[in-house]
Amino acid sequence: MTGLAPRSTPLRLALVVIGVFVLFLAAGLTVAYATLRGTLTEETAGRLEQIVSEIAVIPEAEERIERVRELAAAADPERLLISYAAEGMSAGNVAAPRFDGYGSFGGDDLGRGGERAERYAGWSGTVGGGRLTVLVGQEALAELNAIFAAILGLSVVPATLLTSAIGLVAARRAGARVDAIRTTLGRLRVGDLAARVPPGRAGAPDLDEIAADLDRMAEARQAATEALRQVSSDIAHDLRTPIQRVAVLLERLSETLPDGEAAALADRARDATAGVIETFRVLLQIAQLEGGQGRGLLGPVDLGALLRDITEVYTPAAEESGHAIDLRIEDPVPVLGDRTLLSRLVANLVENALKHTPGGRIALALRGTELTVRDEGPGIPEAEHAAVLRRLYRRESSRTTPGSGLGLALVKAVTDLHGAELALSDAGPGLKVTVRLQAHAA
Amino acid sequence: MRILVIEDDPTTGDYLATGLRQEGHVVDLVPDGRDGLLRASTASYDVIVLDRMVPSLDGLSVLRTLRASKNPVPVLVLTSLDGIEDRIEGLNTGADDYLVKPFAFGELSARVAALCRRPPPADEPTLLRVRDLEMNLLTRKVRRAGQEIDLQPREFALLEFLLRRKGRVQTRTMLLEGVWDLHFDPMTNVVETHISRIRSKVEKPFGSPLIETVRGAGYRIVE
Repeated sequence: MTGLAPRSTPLRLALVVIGVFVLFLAAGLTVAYATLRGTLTEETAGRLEQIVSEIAVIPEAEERIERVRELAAAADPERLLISYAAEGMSAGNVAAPRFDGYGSFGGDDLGRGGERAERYAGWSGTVGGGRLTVLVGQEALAELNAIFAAILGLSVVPATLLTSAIGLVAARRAGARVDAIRTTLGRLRVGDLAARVPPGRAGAPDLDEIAADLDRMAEARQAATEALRQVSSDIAHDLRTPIQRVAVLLERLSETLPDGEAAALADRARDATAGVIETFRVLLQIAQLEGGQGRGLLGPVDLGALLRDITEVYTPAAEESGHAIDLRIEDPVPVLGDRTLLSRLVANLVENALKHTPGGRIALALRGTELTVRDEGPGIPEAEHAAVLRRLYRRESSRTTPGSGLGLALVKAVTDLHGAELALSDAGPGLKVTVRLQAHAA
Repeated sequence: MRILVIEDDPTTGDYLATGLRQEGHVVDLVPDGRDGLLRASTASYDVIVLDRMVPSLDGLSVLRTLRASKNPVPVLVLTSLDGIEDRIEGLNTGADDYLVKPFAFGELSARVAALCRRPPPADEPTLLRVRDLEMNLLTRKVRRAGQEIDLQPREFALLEFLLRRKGRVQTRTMLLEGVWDLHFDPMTNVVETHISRIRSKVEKPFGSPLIETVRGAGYRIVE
């Protein structure tokens, strides 16, 4: 059932309303028809009984025949057919079929002799030693059927079709509006804060209000992010310059000091400052990427060629540390991206694998637009997969290895900016990082 | 060389000016954009080092105005920001190179030197020669002391990059940019291992050094 139900709420509601409408209409008509038909049947039965008892109360056979003859002569054959046969005599306006009790006959089956109704209800039995047959025309029932057929054909079916058509069109329109809102939400979710719901056709004030609310929210968020970006670039300027100043002074100090303990201390201070500067630089870069800046400048990137370059660059260093980099490329497709950022992403993943595994194979693979990096190290427990993507998170076991705890956070920021999917999984043994990028539409 | 430094922070500016002067350049230091533009338009410089965020007229506006007036002087942009927009905007505006703050002085000095000595669009040499090493760019063959050396294509490219810029220090990031077109600062030993592989082929068998390591800066080949 669920497989058949449409996902769009307006469409589903429209179908439910149409269903309920048809159901109620059908139920109402059925009840009315049954009631009317019941009344008509009762009326026919009463009429039959009345005629039969009228004949039955006549004591003499001859008089009964006389009365039947009168009735037959006066009767409209479409409404009443009657025959009576007793003691070798008979009267009536029909050659009655032989049956006992109540019966129902089509008009065509009752022989010729004037007009016939389409259907008759009848009673036949022994009355005063003779056989009396009374058939009452059921023209009224036929009319009832015709009227209901007309109601069905001329009003119910067109009304249902019309309602369905209107309902479905309205549902589709509302659905399109809902889709537009959902698309906008999706774009906002991946950080495209400039996304707004496109104006739709009039006729759905509630959805329009939601769309307007969404736009207002997006605007507020965009303004807030813009303010944050402004603040971070202010920080970049106001805080980086002093850090640079310290670095400059330390560099000068270590150059002017004669070799010795003081010079060694100055060198260490300079190196420590370089670490601070690097952490600071990456943090700022992550913040900047999270602002979604530059998304519009993404273009086609040949990821296969990029992977070949990076593999080549890292291979000698990897071999020295007991690693082997293995590259496999299948059906590469140009991806939407920024080459510099993507090269940083891949380099970070490779360096991460080099740093956190004692040796072994590092498998780089590109299939279509999906990039995977797999190592043969100890891996990361699944419970920590989300945490390692956060900035400055360092696993207990990696506190002793050098690193800022920003490598994977930067990878996450770059994938988010690219509207790409990032997934960590267990390669058993080892860590597998999967990045699904968007293809560049040619 | 005559160099104009447009930088508003006194310590950084003073440090750049002092460092560049020590290397034998003539340096003018200007702390704001409007004055910088005035200097750049009235005097002739070999290189301009331009901070992106300077008071009165921002760095990119200075650059845009210079380029609009058809001034071809090489410009190295210093930026505190390292986003796609900043990078692409800077290069699109006409910057010849950019450097993200903070940076080591060695990096800046190497890049300034590269800009100063932009190779004139003269005839492409077919033979690069340093001491007893000979690189033929047509046959892609390298010989030292008459003996042929077998190099991988990228090893060849890396050696060629250094030979073409002989005498000038090339930093790790400059080598990555020049040889692989990769713009990032990798783990310390990544470039080092490539250099040591080349050394094992062009130095070790001949028992004499060729590629000099400049501590805290990079590598260079000297006559």
